[in-house]
Amino acid sequence: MNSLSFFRLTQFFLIGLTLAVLPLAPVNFIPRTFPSPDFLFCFIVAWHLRDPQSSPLPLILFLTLLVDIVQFRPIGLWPIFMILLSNLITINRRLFFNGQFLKELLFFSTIFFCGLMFELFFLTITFSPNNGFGVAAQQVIITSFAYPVVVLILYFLLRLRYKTSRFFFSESL
Amino acid sequence: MAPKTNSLGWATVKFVLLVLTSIIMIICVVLWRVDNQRIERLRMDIIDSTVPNFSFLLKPISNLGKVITDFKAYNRVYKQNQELKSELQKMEGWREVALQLDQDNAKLRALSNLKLNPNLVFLTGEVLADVGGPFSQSALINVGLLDGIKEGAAVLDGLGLVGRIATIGKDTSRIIYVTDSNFSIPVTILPIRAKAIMKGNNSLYPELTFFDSEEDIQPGYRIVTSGTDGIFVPDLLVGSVIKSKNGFLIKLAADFANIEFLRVLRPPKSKNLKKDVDLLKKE
Repeated sequence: MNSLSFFRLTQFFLIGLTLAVLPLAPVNFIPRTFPSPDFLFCFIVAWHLRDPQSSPLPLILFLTLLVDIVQFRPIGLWPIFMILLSNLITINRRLFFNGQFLKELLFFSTIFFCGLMFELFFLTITFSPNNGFGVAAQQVIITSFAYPVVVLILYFLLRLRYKTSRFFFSESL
Repeated sequence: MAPKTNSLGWATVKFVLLVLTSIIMIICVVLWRVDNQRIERLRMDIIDSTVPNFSFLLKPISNLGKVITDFKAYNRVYKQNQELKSELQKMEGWREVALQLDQDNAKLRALSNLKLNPNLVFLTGEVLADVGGPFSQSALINVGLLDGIKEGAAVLDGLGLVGRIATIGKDTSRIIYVTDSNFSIPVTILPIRAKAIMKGNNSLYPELTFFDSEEDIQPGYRIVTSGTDGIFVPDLLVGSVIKSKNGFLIKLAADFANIEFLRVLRPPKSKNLKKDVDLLKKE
């Protein structure tokens, strides 16, 4: 791994860790009318789509497992979903190389919705407390609005672009 | 030939690791559901050791939040100050009356020799982190098993009920707020002493449900804990009744805008609940 890749890897890890820990800051305890966007999920998907080499699955699993633990979510549920998502992105990356952001946004909204439904389904069938479809749908809409902002920040501030890599993408797929 | 074989071997190793990781995660999820207590204890141990170490990251953010809140409060205070200056002039006449009452109060305090109920022993902790997500209202406080508190203990600010201890670690505990949708407690409506249930709904105005008669309840009535659940001490102030379109809501006495230090009460000695099923057993 060259120094640039290592630098990108470190960037990914540090920013991901910050996004995982920052929501814990005791700033405002008044219940919010709407759920806040899931910036960590936006960040992971946006980065993994553009540069999967510097966002390896073990790091993604570590970050999502950490969030599961500190935010009292079911432990291991979102890492399972991230494994599926990572493989889906690896297979379908060619769809995003022509730079159609609307397609990417639609993809993101769909997978986030699937992730929340996956969690909701699991909690429902195991008779665990959950907040229902309405709140999950709000979360999807709000996070979908946040995704373009995250992509813009990654594009302009971190100069993150789509990368083709023969190790992670094959035309034969 | 050799490079192809190497990449095939590496791909196989990656595939095996992926499958193993997936199996481990599935086991974690199943264990979380099946043996919830052990997993929650493990979670609290991990949080005990990791979250306080992130205070260097969380403190600047919370301080920035406080600066913004303080600035808004300053504007409010300035306006109130102007109003108070005009009222102060009217208060001069009451000064003498207050002095007389103060002397009477001091005599009465000395006479009463007040002894506090031992069930109302509390200790104060600082809120470390907001561990609630978009779907839950909870926080982490820096008191735990080593400080002598137990699960289910009531948590208050200086004004009213804030929540209860949901999960407990050695040095930290998780508080679930009264505003959380999974929070429900039996309450008493004063002065009519009617029983009802307070249920959180992810807003600052929890719902008042399961009361006998709507006509007896008036807006402004005080709501206190009833203590019939055996977990909370009775007569802890929760809030007051307000009318809404679909029934009654509760205006909470606690100030959720300024939560920094909270009091944790020790649970009453009458019931030591080891399992939920103990609530149903006859004594």
